[in-house]
Amino acid sequence: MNLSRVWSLISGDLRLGLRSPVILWLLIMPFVITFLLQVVFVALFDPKPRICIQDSGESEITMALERVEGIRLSLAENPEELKEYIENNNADLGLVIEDGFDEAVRDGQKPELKFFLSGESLASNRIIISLLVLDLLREMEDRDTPVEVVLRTGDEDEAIPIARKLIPAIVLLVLIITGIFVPAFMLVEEKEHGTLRAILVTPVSLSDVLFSKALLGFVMTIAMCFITLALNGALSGQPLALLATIIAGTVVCNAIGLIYGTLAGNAKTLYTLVKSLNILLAGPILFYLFTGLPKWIAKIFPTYWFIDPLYSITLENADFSDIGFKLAVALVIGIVLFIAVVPLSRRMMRKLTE
Amino acid sequence: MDPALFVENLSYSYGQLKAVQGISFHLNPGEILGFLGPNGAGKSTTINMLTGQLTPDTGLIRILGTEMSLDNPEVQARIGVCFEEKNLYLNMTGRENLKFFSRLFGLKDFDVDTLLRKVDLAQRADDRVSRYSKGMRQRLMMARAIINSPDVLFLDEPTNGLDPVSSRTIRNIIREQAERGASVLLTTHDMWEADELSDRVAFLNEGKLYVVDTPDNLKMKYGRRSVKIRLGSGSQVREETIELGAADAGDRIRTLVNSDNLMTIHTEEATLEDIFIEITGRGLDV
Repeated sequence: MNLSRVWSLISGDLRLGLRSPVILWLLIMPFVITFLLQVVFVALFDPKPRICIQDSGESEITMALERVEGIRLSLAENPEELKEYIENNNADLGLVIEDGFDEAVRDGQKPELKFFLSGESLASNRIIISLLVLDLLREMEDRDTPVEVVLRTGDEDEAIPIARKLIPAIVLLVLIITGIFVPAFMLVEEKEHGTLRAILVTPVSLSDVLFSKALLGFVMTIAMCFITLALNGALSGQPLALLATIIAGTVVCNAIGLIYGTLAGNAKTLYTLVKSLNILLAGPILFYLFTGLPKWIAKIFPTYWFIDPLYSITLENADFSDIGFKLAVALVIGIVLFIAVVPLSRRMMRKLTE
Repeated sequence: MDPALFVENLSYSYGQLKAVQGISFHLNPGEILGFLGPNGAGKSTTINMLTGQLTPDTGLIRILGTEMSLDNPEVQARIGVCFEEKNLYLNMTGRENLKFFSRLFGLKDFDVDTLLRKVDLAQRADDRVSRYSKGMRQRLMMARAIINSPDVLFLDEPTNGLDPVSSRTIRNIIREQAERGASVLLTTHDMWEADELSDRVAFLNEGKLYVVDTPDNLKMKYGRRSVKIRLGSGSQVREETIELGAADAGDRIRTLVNSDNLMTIHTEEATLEDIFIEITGRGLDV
């Protein structure tokens, strides 16, 4: 293998890739998927409670609410503006705090606190905001809560929000689509346009070509995975374990990509392969979304061996000792798949000239 | 002088179909060898084996003294191939295509503009190949084939279906390459082109090599040496064919030429196609 020729091939692929709608789509895909995830699972299914305050003095409640994460606070200049917020459903709940409210509370005068409710607001958001304000009032009075509240969920997995549970699924999607599709598509394009034959009568060898496609896919996939994790705020405190997991996943996916690329004679066949087999490769993700399913079945899939570590790191902050064995299995699978590329590439060469 | 290309007992089968059957020939430095044969004769299969794309079932291929295989970068750095199919990067410009391949050959100080001018593509060098006509694409393919100034050049039907201007450009390049000292193996089913360009021609049919010789020798050996003389008087036209080998041929020609009724005189030299049919029993039809 000649590294300078490999680099020449990669630079040619990069030039062509930037002119290919398919490759451009792969590059923007993490951004699109993250955006969709945020819209569907965060903005629609898990909207933040919204409160609008018209504060005539400088109440501690307003200042405390400004510091609370997980709610959206708007400030109205006057009662009319607050009314408008509520009527237009731009806030779930409106709160009017009169001048001298804080002093009146501390003096035990029990001043009136007016809540205005938006008719379209979710009941859950109304309760959250109401309880939050009452807690802040108790704090203002220096009163402890009469009880200690402990929240427990029936299943620990259920406690993880769906948007977060989906992060490993998105990374898997990036791994499968970029890791498999980039090397496969680049190789099939060369075959379909006959340029592979033109390359192979130069000093470039078939192993140079296959290596260049795999390397380009490898770098792109790792970059796309990290971009996806960063966009979703899932870069964990275990960066080395995360990198190792993504590398193992990329190796497996790149090998599968080369297998697809050597098998498919044209883009149509490649799309058929991707559509029919990638669903099977993405199978393990179901076992994390629906935790009742028996997990041993997931182990049948080659992708399980890097998906499970990915899930453990991003959601459970697992470290190397927890995932080492599974990553080793993933790497072995990747190596075996790369070895399988050798006879398939010989078959491909025969087909090319027939 | 060692041959640039030496081929011995080369065979290849696609399953039961014997595409090439034990052919042997050689190509001298600076020589153009025309490989003549109809479609399916085994020309492209032979080129695929000679360029290392196919592994022969049997036989020996030696290029520039070295045995040929696909993983032989030293030999591949010294050959050029022009394919029958137009296998260019359509989303690259003509200039980018040539620069990309120059890098694959590891060429330093490659002068892309001179090469583009040579194939009359300087004006369209920065257009994407997808916007090129068939003739322009073929000229770019030719430029790519000679990018490394190859010692052995394999050309598979380089002028097939081209306009006369593009064909002439390509034929001129082939001649230039041979004059430079490159050996050229040219496959074609165009007997006129083979006759025009080739120092020697090889007749291939159904995977078998029938003959390898110079066009002149073949014409002498297989063609008819005769003269056809047409005489006319009013609406009466008469033709006479005189075999040049006959004892009275000179007298008869002299008599007819001196006749007042002489209209035309033609030599009856056989074409390569005639000879191909005579030898193989099959035409060069596409």
